[in-house]
Amino acid sequence: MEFLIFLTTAILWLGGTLIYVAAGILRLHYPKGRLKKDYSLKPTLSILLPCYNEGRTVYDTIESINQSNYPKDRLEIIVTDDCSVDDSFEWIQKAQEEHHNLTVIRNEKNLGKTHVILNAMRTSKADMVMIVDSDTVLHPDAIDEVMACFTSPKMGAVGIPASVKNPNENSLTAYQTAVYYSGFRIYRIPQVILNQVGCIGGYALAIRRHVFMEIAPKLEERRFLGCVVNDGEDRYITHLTLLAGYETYQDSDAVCWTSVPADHLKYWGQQMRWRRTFVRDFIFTLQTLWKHVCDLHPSLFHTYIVIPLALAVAGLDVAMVVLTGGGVAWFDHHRLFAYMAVSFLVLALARHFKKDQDLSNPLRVLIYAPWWIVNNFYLTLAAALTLDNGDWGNRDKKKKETK
Amino acid sequence: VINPRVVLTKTALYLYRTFALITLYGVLAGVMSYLVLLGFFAVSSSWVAPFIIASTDTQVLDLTGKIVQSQQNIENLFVDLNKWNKNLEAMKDSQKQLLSLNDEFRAALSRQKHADAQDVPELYQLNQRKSADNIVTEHVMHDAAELETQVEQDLKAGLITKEDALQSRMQIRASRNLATDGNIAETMMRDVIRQKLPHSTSNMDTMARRAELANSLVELTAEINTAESQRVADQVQIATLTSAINLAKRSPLYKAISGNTTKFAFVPYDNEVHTGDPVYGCYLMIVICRKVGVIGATYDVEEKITHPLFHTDVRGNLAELKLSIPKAAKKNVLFVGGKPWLF
Repeated sequence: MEFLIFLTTAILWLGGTLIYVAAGILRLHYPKGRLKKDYSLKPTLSILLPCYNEGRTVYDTIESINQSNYPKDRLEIIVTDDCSVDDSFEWIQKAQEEHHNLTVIRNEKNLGKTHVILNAMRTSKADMVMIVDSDTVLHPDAIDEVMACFTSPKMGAVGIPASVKNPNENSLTAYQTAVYYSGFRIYRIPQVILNQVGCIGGYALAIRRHVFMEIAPKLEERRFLGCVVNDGEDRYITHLTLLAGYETYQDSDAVCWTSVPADHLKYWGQQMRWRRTFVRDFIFTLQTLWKHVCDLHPSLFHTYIVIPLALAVAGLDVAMVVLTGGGVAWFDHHRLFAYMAVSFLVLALARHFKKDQDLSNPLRVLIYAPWWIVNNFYLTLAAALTLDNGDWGNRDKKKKETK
Repeated sequence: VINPRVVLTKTALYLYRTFALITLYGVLAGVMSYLVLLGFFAVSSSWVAPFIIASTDTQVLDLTGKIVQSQQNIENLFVDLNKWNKNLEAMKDSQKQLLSLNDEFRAALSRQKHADAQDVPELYQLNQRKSADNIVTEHVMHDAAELETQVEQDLKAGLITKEDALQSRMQIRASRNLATDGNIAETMMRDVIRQKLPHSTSNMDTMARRAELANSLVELTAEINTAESQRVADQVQIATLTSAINLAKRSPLYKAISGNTTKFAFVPYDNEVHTGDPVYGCYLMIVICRKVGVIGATYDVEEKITHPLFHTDVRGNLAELKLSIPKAAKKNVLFVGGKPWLF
């Protein structure tokens, strides 16, 4: 058992290190990516803005979109209130009074994010659609940058690396800032270079409308044992786009900000949804494995196969270590040192390359270094056993707020 | 109309949810229990870790081998010690005799020197006188040669008879013999005087013998010292080995050798137990407990084990368990003094 744990850990660390080293080298070599952008491209664009219990935040998001430098006559915003129980709809109405390019849909019953997006997409007549979360703030140039990436008809979807709006709110947000940085700014670089990004975040996902129409039926049919699936639509959309033969890209020139959970309960809920997405995607990958082998670049195997498998094995490792009674002894100083070293490395890179994400007290990140144990040991298992859950995540239990 | 597909899906969903509920709450309960155990063992001062020592245990076999080896060594050392004692006795007797002989030798030598010192002047004077006598006799013997010639002439001349001549020749020959004897006596006396002088060969021989005797004494003394040192070393080694064996005989492992007691418990230094304290065993590690025996004895012998939960090294003592329920010795932990919780 000790040998198996050692072997798995070694493979995980070695594989992860190689990916990050390769990503670092590619990043230095292609600081702006390989894609040649065309800023003359100004297709008609519908921003799909699903909203559920976001309160004033949705108004701020609409404001940030309308402050965009993108031609207003080519931009519309379709906001859908999915039967919020707070004052979100009032804020949407306020925005509608102020801006004429706003189409508002209000559901009489809660349908879930996936169906909200699909319905909004059907309302749109634009060439492009861009899903934007109702708590995302876009840089005024973000839409121009993203649209400039659709130079090739093969380019199906483009995303934006997320910056954290509240990095220094507390230790938890500082930790997530480091994780976001390592994920968006380092790990995905090889995928960006290959134009095959495995997952574009749903907080800002631009996609050709006809591509979206093409994959929409599969998105709509998504069920788990008869239960409606509402989470992980972003990863699924990206995955389907790739399998449909299109390219996907993440534009590092575009900037947007999103808030990360500042309290543990919300963070737990978010991580649970992400894990469910992960598990669903893994199942989907296994179901369409041959198509992956034939159509996708082998590097995506790391995202779609190796990581889920490695995490499953790591979870089993942790479980076995606990069950065999070595739980405390396992967390010896060598491993703690390794956690600290990796955390410091990520922080050093974050501080060097992304000044706007500078953490006031980077050492706080270390508090959450052992989080991956919870993530792998319990969260993945819990996610795999709650795939029938189709809620909106953090926003479900929000009480009605007054304007 | 019942749709079999719907029924199948609903059944699968029901089974999935049931399995998920049981698994997730099971894992959660496991994690919580583990955390409770961690907390409990972090503060508990009543736990002991039982273990059974069989006579075939490698430690016991090792100890048995060492004790047998040590006893054999002690016996060999006693044999050596007796040998050294006898040798020492003989050597000391010999030393005593040599010392006595040395004293006598010295006394005799002293006496001899004293006598020689007195005799030499007298002998010297006598020798002088003898020498003077011999010179006079030589002159007389010169005259005797002339007399002998005269006797031969008188015999030829018929002045004396053959018998007178023979008698005269015999008297002259006797005188010559006496003169020769006188010379011999003088020479011998001179030799006697020379032998009595301090650097004479006889005195040197005597000194050499005395040196040999002294050397023998020194060698013997050295041998005696060596033997005594060896004897002391053997005695110390015997005492050390005996002490070690006695210590080993007081250890729990020795009890396992004799087969009297084979159940013990490791007691961490932070925990304290006394002879007669009740011992409890639990079904679920720390809950649902019952009395399983008492502490039979405590041993002031340090032991080190791996913590049953933390898997870190823990130091402590050993205690003998007298268990009314012997299989309790197979548990990971037992508790001394009372139940860890109230049940």
